[in-house]
Amino acid sequence: MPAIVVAVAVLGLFFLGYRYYSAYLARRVYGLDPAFVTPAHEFRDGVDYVPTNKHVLFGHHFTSVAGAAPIVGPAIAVFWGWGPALAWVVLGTIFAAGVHDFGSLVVSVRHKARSIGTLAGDVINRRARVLFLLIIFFLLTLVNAVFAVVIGNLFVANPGAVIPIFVEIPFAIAIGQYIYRTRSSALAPSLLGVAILYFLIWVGQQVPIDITPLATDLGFDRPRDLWVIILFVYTFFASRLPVWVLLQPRDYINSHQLFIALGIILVGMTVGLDRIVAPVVNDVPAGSPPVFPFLFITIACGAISGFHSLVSSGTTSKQLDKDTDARYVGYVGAAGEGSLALGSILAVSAGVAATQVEWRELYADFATASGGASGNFVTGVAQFANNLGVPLDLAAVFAAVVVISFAATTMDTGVRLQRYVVQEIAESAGFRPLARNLTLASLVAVLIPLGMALLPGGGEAGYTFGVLWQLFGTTNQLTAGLALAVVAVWVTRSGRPSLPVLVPLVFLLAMTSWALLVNLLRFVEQGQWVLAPLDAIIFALAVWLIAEAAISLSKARRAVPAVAPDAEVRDRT
Amino acid sequence: MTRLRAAWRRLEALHDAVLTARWRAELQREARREEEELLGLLLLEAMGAQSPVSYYALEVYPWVLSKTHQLHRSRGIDRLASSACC
Repeated sequence: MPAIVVAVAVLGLFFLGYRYYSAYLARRVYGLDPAFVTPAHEFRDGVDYVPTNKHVLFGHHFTSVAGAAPIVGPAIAVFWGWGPALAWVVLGTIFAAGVHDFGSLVVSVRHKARSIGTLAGDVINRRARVLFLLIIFFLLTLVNAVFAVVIGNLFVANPGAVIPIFVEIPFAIAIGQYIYRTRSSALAPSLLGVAILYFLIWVGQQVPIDITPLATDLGFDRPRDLWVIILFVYTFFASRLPVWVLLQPRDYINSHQLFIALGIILVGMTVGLDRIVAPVVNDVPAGSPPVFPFLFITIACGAISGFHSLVSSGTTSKQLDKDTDARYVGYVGAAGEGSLALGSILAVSAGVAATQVEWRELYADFATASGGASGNFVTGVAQFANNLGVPLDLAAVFAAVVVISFAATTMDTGVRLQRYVVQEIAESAGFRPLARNLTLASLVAVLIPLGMALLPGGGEAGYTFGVLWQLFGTTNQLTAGLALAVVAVWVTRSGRPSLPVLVPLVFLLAMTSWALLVNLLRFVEQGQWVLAPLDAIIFALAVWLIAEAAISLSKARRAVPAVAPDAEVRDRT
Repeated sequence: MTRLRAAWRRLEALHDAVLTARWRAELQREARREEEELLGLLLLEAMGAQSPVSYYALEVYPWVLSKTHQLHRSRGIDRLASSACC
């Protein structure tokens, strides 16, 4: 079947989801009110609270949530066949991610644009705030660890990507300085940055930098580990810089890359009429992780991602012009992330190989599939770009640079956020030296994920990259579970139908806990004494979350709302 | 040509609105922190304390003079005898 047929069908389903299901959610479940005065107007300050046009706000929201995670997860999950992966992306986006992203935005707007962490404390109870901090700590640790491994693998497999990625840094700094000092528009400088990056991709292809001999001389078993160390040293310093110096100008360049890559995937597969060669349902080897429950934690971003609730309730809710705009910004933002996952699935099931025999070699077992996932995506996108006349080698470097750029920005932001979380946890625990010392907090934020990324694995007794990725998926799903629990309690208290929120909440928590338990038993059996305690802690957090959600929902059901909860919030303030 | 330039300006405005929104608060916070640090250093010197960065702060004096110049001109004083700014 041509990949473009699947792409058009899925985009059509996303449109129907937006047209009908989000309209139902807006009217019956969230009760959007065009007369509601949003925090952007109520607390307008020109900095945090700024009423923003809904199309502009959507662009901001989408570029904030899109990254490398909806690329890597689906590229691993095609191991079970493109059918199950695509089904979860489609159903997850329409019935879970849309509900979650849209709902967390609405709840935040109805509560003075508070963040989901604060809302957990306000809507559920104070313990939920501590729970939130702990889940976020593990989420950020695993985000930084998995993306360091993804980048390390891609640098080893695509040495041509080294020059563009590293030489982009001084150019991004120069662009940032120019914009900051001249106060000029960022459009022309960032387009120039994209042009320079594409020139550097050509230079990188001519001068590939392979550090394998150096890594061998230094005694590293895996050359990737040297890259991982270099990346964390870089991230330690980069996360200390003011955002306008590097992170912001590099983000300008990456945002353009996001739309260029999406365009190349769609136009390339349309022109080339690439056919899907992967099986609809793959007959996986004995001993592989089963599709239930592991598919649902392998694909987090792209089907449902808790990280979106942090963006929805962090910056987007402070800029929502009208209550009714939440439907467009929140739901279509989720569909945009689903489209990125769709592009990834099609790249690794159509573009990556010419025949099913070739495809089966790439997805021979779970370890091969997970270790090679980002590389397979790169090969697939390179094939789509090749359909448009770009030489295959150059296109491969381009695709690798796209994934590495997204992952590197996520790491920069992740370490920065982790530092805040470490300081907040230290402050709560009364450990002031860590709470007050920026360097110490940054070191903790870097060393823990560095240790995880350097864990030995991949052999018979070792773990695979997919296991680390699944642990990241579980923490992401737990964040989504917490946000859905907040939304469910709020909807229940409002006396509106809560089933559309409860179904994805229960499904998500059931799949996550099931997967954590299965992995825990396996880690203990294999004697994985680093992964087993980590899995046990995350499982304990999942059980805690289920208990808090059940208690709060039960209380909310018993309470009869005397007044509309939104009015109640306004009265209190 | 004028219409083309106007269209480019609109595109610039849209681009900046989409891409700078997420950074706005962080940028304001950093600008405020820089100003507060400068204020603290100037206050230290005004109180007679040795500023630990006085040598490195030399480069901000042209800025301080330029600001002083703008200030007295805005108050209707063309020249400020006691200042080296004019």
